[in-house]
Amino acid sequence: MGEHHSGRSTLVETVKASSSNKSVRLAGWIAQRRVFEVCGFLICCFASACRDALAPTAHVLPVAPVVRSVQPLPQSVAILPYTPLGSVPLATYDFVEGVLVEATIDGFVHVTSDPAAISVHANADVDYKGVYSFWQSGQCDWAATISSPQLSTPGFQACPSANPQYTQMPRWVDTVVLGGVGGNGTITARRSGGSGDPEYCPSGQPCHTVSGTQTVTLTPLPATIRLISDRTEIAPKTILIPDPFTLPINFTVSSTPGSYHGFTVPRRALSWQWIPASGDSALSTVSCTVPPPSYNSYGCAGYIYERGSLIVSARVNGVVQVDTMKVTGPEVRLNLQKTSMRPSTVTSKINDLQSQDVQVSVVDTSGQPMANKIVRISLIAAEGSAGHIHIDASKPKPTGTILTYFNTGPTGVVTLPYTAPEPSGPVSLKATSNGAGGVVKKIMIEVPDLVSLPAGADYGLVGSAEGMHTANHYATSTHIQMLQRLAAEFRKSFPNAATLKFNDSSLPSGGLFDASSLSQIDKRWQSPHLAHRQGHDTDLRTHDPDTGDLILTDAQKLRIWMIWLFVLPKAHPYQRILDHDTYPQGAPPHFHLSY
Amino acid sequence: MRLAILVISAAFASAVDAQVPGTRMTVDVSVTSVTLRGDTTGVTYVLYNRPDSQDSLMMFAVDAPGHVTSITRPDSLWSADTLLYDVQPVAVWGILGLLAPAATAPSIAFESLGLPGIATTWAQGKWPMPGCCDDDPPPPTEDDVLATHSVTGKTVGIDPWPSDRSVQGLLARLRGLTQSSCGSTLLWITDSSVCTQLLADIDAAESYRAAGAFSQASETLDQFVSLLGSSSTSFSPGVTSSAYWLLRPNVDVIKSLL
Repeated sequence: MGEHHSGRSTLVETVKASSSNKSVRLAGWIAQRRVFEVCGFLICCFASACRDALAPTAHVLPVAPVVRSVQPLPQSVAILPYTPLGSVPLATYDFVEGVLVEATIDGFVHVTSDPAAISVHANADVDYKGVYSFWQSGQCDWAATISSPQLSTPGFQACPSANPQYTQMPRWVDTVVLGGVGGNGTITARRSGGSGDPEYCPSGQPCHTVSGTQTVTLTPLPATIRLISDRTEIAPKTILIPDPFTLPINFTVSSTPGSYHGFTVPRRALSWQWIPASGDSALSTVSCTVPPPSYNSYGCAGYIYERGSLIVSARVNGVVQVDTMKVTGPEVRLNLQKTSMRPSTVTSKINDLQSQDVQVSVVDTSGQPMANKIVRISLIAAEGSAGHIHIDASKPKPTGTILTYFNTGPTGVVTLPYTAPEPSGPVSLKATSNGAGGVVKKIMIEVPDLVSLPAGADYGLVGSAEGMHTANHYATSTHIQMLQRLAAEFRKSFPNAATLKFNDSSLPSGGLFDASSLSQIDKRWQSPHLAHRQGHDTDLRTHDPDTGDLILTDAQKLRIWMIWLFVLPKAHPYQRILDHDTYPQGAPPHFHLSY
Repeated sequence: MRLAILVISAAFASAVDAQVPGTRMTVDVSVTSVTLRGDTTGVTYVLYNRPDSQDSLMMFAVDAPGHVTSITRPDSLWSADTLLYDVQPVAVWGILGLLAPAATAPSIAFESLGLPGIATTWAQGKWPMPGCCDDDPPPPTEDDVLATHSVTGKTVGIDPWPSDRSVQGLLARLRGLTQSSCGSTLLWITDSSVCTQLLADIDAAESYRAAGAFSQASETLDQFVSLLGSSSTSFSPGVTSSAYWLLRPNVDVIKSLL
């Protein structure tokens, strides 16, 4: 965490990337990854931001300053010799978007020509443009250029073809974009020349003698990341929640300055992250992914339904930087009494509805409730959770109940009862209101503290139903101990008998234990098990479910009965054993052990 | 402590007729022996389910306040457990093959630290296990299956050693046991004159003990025993085997201390 408290005054974490600084770049990325892993986003150099990121309920993201000082990539300098077709490396810009640099070429090379030469007769100092050679099909001999693997160099035009066929400027300056991708980003300074060089004169010597060097310099230009959007900023780097919600906000990575001499500063987004202001809400959809390395992308369209901040990590002119955009406005609030509830139980004899009051309001940016706002609440039960691995769109998991469409009234605050469903598992309450940020709150419907009956030598676990419920032996620790003790005592009485077969107890979080067979699709979310909800009940097989044959003798059944009722300590007034000899209809006979 | 082994056939009836399933029977609980070994007492029973019973005997329990040190079962179709009924240790036998009306069970026995005393028994007949319903709410009060579905009675059991183990204290305890045996609840001794004489012998023994006349005290206790019966198979008129097996071993313990 030390890196989060470095005391830096800027929000931007920069990572230099250059040919001479690869290790620094790598270390920077590793550091970034650690920050991501710990805090979930990059701006953890702020202690408060880091603390907010770790807090479960809300993130308070500071707005990044618009103007910041960013150290550009380092300058690169190389001495280019006079040798035709010679080259020297300058830098490595292994970026698909390239790097905008100021390039300079300083100095001259001297060309002396034999009078018998048919192509050029310079006999003078020439600059980077070199000497135009008619003999070599119009090429520029001895011109200096800057070579970039995949990006053009808009400046530094070819040498003149008309007289004078050379120039003598001591320094040439231009703004160019250089770069490559995929390990092919080495920028070089090159000397020109043609396939016919050197030209030999009648004396047998080369017709031209060249001497001297030129200095080539690349100076990456400074640019600070600037995250912008297609919405009006109501304050620096702050926009309002869209109204209506249906249109996405288009975010773009830009920079300050945005261009130099007409060239847009290269930039490429590396990651996008939406941080809801209210914890782990899943209302908004900002799923912009990082494109492949060969593809340049700097935009992202997100559907924003809540307060929060968008964080982008991007490479701007070769430097990795981070910026944020805050989205604010009114928002819906749900205040729960508790985030964990027991499931309801409804049978012909039991009507145990588990409820809690939920306070709903729409608040403005100062936190004051807004009167007469229309709010919609939708309930989403997590399919496949709490041991119910059967997922069928035609039979969605019950969610519980709450009023779903209402007005907040003159006080701006409404209190509604939420009633838990019978099955356990997380239920999300999603509340929205036009022009206001929505909110999602999760309630865990569960019977707490259930543990799994482990495999044991004295008993077998049966009843796992693939595709329906495979974790079917959860119960209270007391009940688990009773089952284990029952099996051990039974083993002592009948050491040669088959092990007891424990069928369904409860699901991992308790609640409704519905149909246990894929063939009983019409009974999903219904209750063939009337009990088995609280971790106090387990079925014990007395018959083979396939053949219907008894697998326990009468004496063995009697012993089980005695152990459960008399030998085991009394765990509950309702400690009992039921003999479902023909109950329920269609189910194989079994014992039902309670508490 | 002197070892005494007494074997005799005795019987008493634990007979409560009722209509609650499991209690529709009359079971005779016979004490066939009481053994004293060191500070441990063992009691052996034979159970008989009378022919007019409607239920087959499924379980028999004897309270054992001195805790059970060993318990035997005749065969694999019996279970033998020691458990706590509320907080009271109880010796429990399960007759997994059931004891039908008119049938006699093999001997069962248990041992405990203590002296022969008066114990409560529970005899439970086979009653149908409930089959419905999983979602029945818990009963408003605790459903005591042992009490509800059992016939209770009294038999010779084992009391923990009293805190006062002096001859004086044990004589006082013997006097209480004798009075209980003669009482209307147990009626293990039905001849009131025998009861009067037994109590007189105890009082005399105590007087001799107090005077230091230990041999006279012992002789008086011999008279006490002879009033119970001439041997472990021959009881005096009006004296049941339960009275004999309750009182005789206690006298033996006292005599061993004189």
